[in-house]
Amino acid sequence: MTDPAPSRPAPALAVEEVACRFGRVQALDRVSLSVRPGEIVALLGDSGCGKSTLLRVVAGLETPDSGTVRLDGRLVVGEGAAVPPEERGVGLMFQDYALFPHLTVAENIRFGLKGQPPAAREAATSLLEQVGLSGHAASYPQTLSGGEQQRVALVRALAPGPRLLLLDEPFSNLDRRMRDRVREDTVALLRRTGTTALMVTHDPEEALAVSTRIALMRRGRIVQVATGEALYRRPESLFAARFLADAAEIPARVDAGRAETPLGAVPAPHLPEGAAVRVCLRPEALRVGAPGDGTAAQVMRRTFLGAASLLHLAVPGLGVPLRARLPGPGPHGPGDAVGVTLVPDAVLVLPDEEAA
Amino acid sequence: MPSGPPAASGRAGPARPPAPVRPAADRWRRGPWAQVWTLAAGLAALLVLAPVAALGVEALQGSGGLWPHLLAHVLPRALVDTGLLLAGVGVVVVVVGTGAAWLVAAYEFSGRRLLDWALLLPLAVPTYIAAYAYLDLLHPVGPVQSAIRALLGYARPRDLMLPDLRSLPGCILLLGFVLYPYVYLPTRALFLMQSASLVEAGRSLGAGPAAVFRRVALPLARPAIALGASLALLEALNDIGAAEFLGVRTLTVSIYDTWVNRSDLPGAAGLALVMLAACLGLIAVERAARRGRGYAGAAQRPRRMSRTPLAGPAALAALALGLLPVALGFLAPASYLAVEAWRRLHVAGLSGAILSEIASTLIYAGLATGVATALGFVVAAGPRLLGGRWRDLLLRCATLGYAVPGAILAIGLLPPLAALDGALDAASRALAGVSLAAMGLGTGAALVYAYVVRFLAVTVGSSEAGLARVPRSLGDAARVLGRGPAGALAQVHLPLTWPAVLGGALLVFVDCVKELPATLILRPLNVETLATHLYGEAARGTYEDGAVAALLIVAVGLLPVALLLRVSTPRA
Repeated sequence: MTDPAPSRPAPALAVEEVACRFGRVQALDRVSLSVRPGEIVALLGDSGCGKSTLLRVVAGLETPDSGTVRLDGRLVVGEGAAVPPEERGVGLMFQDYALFPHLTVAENIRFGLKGQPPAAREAATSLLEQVGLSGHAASYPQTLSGGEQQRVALVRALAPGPRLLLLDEPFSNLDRRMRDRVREDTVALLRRTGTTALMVTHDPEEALAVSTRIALMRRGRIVQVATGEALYRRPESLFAARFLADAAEIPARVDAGRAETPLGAVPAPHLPEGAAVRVCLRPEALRVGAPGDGTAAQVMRRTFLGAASLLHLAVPGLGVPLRARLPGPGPHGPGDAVGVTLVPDAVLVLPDEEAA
Repeated sequence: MPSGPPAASGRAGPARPPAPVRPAADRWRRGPWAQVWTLAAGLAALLVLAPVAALGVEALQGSGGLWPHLLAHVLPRALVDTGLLLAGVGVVVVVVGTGAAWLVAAYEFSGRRLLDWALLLPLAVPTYIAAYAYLDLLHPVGPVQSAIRALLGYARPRDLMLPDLRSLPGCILLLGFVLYPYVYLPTRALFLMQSASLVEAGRSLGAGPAAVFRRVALPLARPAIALGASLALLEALNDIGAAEFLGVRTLTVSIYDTWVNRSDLPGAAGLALVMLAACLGLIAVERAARRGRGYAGAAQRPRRMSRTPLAGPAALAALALGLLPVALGFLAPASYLAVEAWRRLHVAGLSGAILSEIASTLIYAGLATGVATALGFVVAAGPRLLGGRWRDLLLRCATLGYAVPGAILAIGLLPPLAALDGALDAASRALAGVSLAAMGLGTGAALVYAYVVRFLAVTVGSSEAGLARVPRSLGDAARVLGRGPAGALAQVHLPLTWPAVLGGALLVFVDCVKELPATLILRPLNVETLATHLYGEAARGTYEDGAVAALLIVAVGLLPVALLLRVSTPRA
């Protein structure tokens, strides 16, 4: 919505006004999205927000009630078209990997290569080598570890050379330690093969780490499309701000272009006079100094996280507790009196959705 | 229409130029499979509903005096006998089946593993065979009564009158001890599935073992008990041999009698309608008993209940208690048949008649199994692959046949098949001058048809159970990787479900071999199967090759017992 589609090359994927309803649930409510060749776009949202439905509509596994989907400019659904999934030339990697248990790893990967030239088989073999699984070609998928299965699923989806790869929560079945590495390897492989990708995730950190752009979804609508940094630093709604990171919220009203808080006034440009707003203070928006340096506050609790620590602060006259992030263990302990100042760039002022 | 950059242009048919008329072509491609499925399921539903509709028409065509006659002379006795029989059999199967299931699920004793599967053995004995065997076993001059008299020192049968098996209570006990595995099987599976923590919670809250059974295990097992009891009662309603041999005039016996002995088709159809209502009522009761109760704890694979070890006299008592239904329901009739069959074979060898009966039994059962299996798999796969709620409804219709007893089905099939035969004959005479008498009724096609309709629910059910274990994403993956609906079915679903499909086929085969009422009514003239042969001899009171035929049927019936046990034992 913020990024106009480029006009010269056709977008790898163009979704327009797609709506999809299951009984009483409006799973997709006139969703539009375009993905440029080579991009990795994340569909981010809570479960039930419609992100997986959108993925299935693009794959052809679900038929929308209205709207169109184009792949490389070719109409695949809507306006009378209904190209079945097997003819769309997209790859899909499933959350549960969906590896065929009755086929070996090699047979799984060859499944999508029917009717392709022998070169495709060689390419698939080389892909398997690249992910370090050539030794397992004759194994059955259920004998592999979760991480290995993930790689087989990725190679199987990439082997036929899809113009667009769809990934449904590709890392959610991996334990935390493994996830970061697999994620990096996956992104590297996508870049190396020049694959355009659309990925569904509920994890903001994952979306930030993997994607070139993020489409944030809520209740069947896309609420904001932006690069990860823009979405994090300039969310357009309280929902987006909350989804990306926890923050202390201070209710306020716009008065003369500013919102007044116990920690001082914050500029609130572009917001109408008298509007109810929430001033969102993420941990990095607070600078903690000696007492007397800024607003007086007291340390309630300190949570040590290893590389950083979180200070839980109470500010007199402020209903909500504040949290500040300090590098390392930091000099402050429970009960200490400190002074708090705001980091203007990191403070968000957003319209109060509940009050409106 | 711009195509993708060369590097990214994928596998979507390099030879095919992108044609602007694609949409129409795509719709055509999707269409045929949906249509093939709809045709198959619609045909199946029609096959099932046609005889029921025909019954209604036939019953209406009867003379004005039909219903008053039925109400005055036939229905009262038939309804009372049937009602008492069902109530009695219901109590026996629930008590024996649930008790046996709890015994092997909750206690550990020597011989428990044996009992586990031995308790299923009566499934191999059709009710009419059990009656046939027991009539002879308990005959006043049979082995049991002779032994009792010898033991007590009486010389002649009339000196000691024992209760006659040929009575309603005798019939109830006989059917109950043969049919209890229908309750035992699902209830045992449910007891084994239920989580140990539920039982332990009950114990920790102060309930003793008996109270745990009554207050925790039994209520949780209610859906399984209801399901098993309804199947057993449908089976009891379907029974024709046992009730007739034992002199109980149930609805089924009345229907057969009305048609065969009085050639009164409208009368038989009227009775069949009454019986169909009884079946539907039974199923409604079962649904009501199950309402709101899922199979608890099936999803998260909980820790299983541990068995309480028994030792000494308690273990012996448990074993004896568990062996009682096995002995009554299987060992006694089966060993009687084995002895009698051996005697017969020793004296006369294998007669040619038996061989041709085996052949016709295998041919009809085999054909019906093939058709039912293929149709069942396609019908079950449809809603899964193509989606759509009305498809699901059609599917339910196609499986209604299991609730329709063989006698009803057969009576309902007679009028449409006779009409069809007449039409075929007329057409053939007109076109070729050749008479084609009784193509349907005369060739056994009618019999295969009845078997398929009656047992389609089994193959649909087993295919569905198999397909339910294939995650939806596997089918989706096959589609995205370039297969159409049929390709996905053949290359992913079928390889993953064939054990379940074959299991269903085996059950149907055995059921067809055992099925008596429909076979009696619909078999072509002068064709005997093992089941009808046995019925004929028992009805005439002769005992020639009957034991051989019965033993063969029991032997075939043993096949699925092992399979059922494996399927019904939850993996640890």
